[in-house]
Amino acid sequence: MIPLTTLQLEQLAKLFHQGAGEASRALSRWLERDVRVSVDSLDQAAFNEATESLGPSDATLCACVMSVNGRITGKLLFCFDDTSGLLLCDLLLGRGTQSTRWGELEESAAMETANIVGCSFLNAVSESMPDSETLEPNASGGSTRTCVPSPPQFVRDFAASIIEFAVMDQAESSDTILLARTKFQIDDTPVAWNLLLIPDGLILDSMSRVFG
Amino acid sequence: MGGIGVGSSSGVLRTLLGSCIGIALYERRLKIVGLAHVVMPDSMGRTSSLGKYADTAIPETIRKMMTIAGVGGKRLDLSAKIAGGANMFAQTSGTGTVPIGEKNRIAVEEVLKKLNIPILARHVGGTTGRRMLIDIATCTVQIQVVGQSVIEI
Repeated sequence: MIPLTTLQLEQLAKLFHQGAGEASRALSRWLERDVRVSVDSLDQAAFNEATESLGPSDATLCACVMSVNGRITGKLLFCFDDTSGLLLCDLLLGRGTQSTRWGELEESAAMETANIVGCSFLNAVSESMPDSETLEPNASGGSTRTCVPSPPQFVRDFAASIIEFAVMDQAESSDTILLARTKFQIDDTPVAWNLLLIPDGLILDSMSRVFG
Repeated sequence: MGGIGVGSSSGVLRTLLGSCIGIALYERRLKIVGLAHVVMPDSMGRTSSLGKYADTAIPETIRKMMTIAGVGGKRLDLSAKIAGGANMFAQTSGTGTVPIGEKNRIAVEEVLKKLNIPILARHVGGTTGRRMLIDIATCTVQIQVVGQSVIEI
């Protein structure tokens, strides 16, 4: 995989801004609050530095992980620490007090939210992408017109362990990892949620050609 | 990821693992220790990022250990303990192919076998990440999984 140029990264960032806008609208409806999702950064990090992309490597992190097929292939992770993740659940479940532990209900609420954020983000990115005739599809059988995420899987583990697995598809073909990070605000207050898109090496090569 | 650390006499080497394999190599008598974090099973002839691949990381770790041991070309009496190789996102990864963590484990074990280095303990597979530490002075290896007590292997 050839690293994307600055211009290509800027074009890609525009797509992701479209995705973040749609995710904002979807999440605002879902939580019945004013939620803003914005692209925080789009980086090509050295492979061995990627594990620090979500903070300290040995911090415990929660993630709802989705595999993405279609016009973009890769991994989409909705990540948060315990406190921020449980805050999301409390908002959804209308609880007045701060929850302190993950149960089946909390995990389900987080995954449902990940599904809504992920689908809205990917749909907007997909619709904004250049003509599919020029963007070669992946070999995994997904549609070339849409991005289809798998059902989310909830994991709670070391941050580095989660990132390591998520970047594995890029690691096969490159020593550089592309990471698109977002940040979230509820009613203008930042919350430590993070939507992380990690396209795989094959689709990055296609993007590189499309964006010239 | 893909890093190699070596040390002698005292101190701790550590790494965090998901589907990667951590390989602790040690020469107990000389207190020379190496820790490699293998990401992929096969370098396919690549000559960069030697620590990333099972077939290049292990020889490179040994070379570094021999350098700090100052033993010239003399062979070190090495033992190994390995950890990692999880399939953390089994539900989203699909079925029908061998998970990358399993491929890594098989590759690492093959390389160690070729080099006649015995594997004295394993903590591999499963669906969770691991923190792996090796104490250089004692050559003891500890494994930690989120939400569980530290264990020695």
